[in-house]
Amino acid sequence: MAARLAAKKGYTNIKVFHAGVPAWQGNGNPLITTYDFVSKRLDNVVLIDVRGPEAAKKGHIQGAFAIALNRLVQEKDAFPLDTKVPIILYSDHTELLEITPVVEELSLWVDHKMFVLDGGYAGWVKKGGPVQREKIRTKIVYLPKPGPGEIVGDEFMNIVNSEPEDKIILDVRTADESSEGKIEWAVNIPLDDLQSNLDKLSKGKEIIIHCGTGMRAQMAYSALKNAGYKSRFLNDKVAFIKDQPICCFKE
Amino acid sequence: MKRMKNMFGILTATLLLWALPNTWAAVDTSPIVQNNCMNCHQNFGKMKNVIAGNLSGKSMKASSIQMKIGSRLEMVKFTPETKIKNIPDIESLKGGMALRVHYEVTGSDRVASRIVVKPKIKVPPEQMIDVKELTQLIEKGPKEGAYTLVDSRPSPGYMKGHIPSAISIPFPKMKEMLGKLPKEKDQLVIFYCQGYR
Repeated sequence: MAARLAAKKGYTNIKVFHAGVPAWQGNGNPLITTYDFVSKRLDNVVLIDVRGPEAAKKGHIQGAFAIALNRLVQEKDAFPLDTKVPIILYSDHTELLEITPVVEELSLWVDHKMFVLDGGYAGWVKKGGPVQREKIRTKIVYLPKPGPGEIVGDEFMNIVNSEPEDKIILDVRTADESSEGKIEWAVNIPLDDLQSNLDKLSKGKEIIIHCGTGMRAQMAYSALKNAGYKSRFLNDKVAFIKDQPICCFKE
Repeated sequence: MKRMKNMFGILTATLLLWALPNTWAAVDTSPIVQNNCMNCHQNFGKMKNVIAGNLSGKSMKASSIQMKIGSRLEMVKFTPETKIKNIPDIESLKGGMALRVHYEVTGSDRVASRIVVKPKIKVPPEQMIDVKELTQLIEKGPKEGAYTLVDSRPSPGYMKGHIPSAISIPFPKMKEMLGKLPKEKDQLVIFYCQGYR
């Protein structure tokens, strides 16, 4: 579309990289990310100061982990379980020549998308982004934050075990799945039948939804939210041994 | 008096006719279209029983797909009769794909009659550039490589992550931003976007 418009405007040497961004990343190349993106999402990305701990002592981006470029591949096992969390590498400036080969090697091992911060640390400081000198962390520890409408596994299990008056557990798996193991006090309404059974749920209580993987629970959450119910969903796997739920194991 | 009665009768009948379909249709069938679709497909806004946007979830077990439109999540069921265009089957639907879903209302559910996946844009073969060629150019840089790399996606995509040396010209704003393209019209200009999945 853009190429067609350019041709119409008289450009004669037009190319299209049709496979676009996914192909670029799939090939083990980093993308360039920006101050605007990173500064708004400091809690939801893994930032790595690839200059290493020594340089980081003189100042690093708030929350970054200091891991020298040549040690990064060794640390890959500490990357977040959620491969959608962006891994953002930065150096003093935009040192693509040094960083790209490491990203290429990492991409053989992990599925995370990797980014290089435009302008590096110098660019960050120039824009007035938050920095710190203390608290050098050399091991990646990523604590996932619940997304909109999500409940984290620990709280879910607490509710399952304490059966609070003001909550309902809603199991949206099929009756078949539910018969093989369920939370005793949960209400089972398969996602398929949810719209026509909304009247069985109370608007006065918070409805905590689960399924087997999190996918149907999320759909049920949006249906309930659209219908004006107060609810959260477990975006995680749940399995059962008899009626004892086991939740939140990745893989 | 008689005439008055007649008038009243007609009025009630019209009122009833007008009111009944409204009570039957419990589900709103006005189009639900993601903003960025409207940049090129203004006609979507006039269609009935249509949801257009990106797929955000799919459950084969519950025969449902979910689309995120703005901040709302919209759910549509599918059946073996649901037709699917531009990909082989519903199993091949992947998160993020751009779709237009035509549905019918059954009870309180939306049931998809047709799911149209946004087709790949056709590019003349002589215009295609692959990763290898692009990488070589990028290693040289825009000056030495004598190219302008243009990211045509909406700005948030560019902000999150773009190909090195790319400039941002979101397609809907391209006409106003033509000044960012090189002045010499025989200079190499390379466009890319989100690509296909």
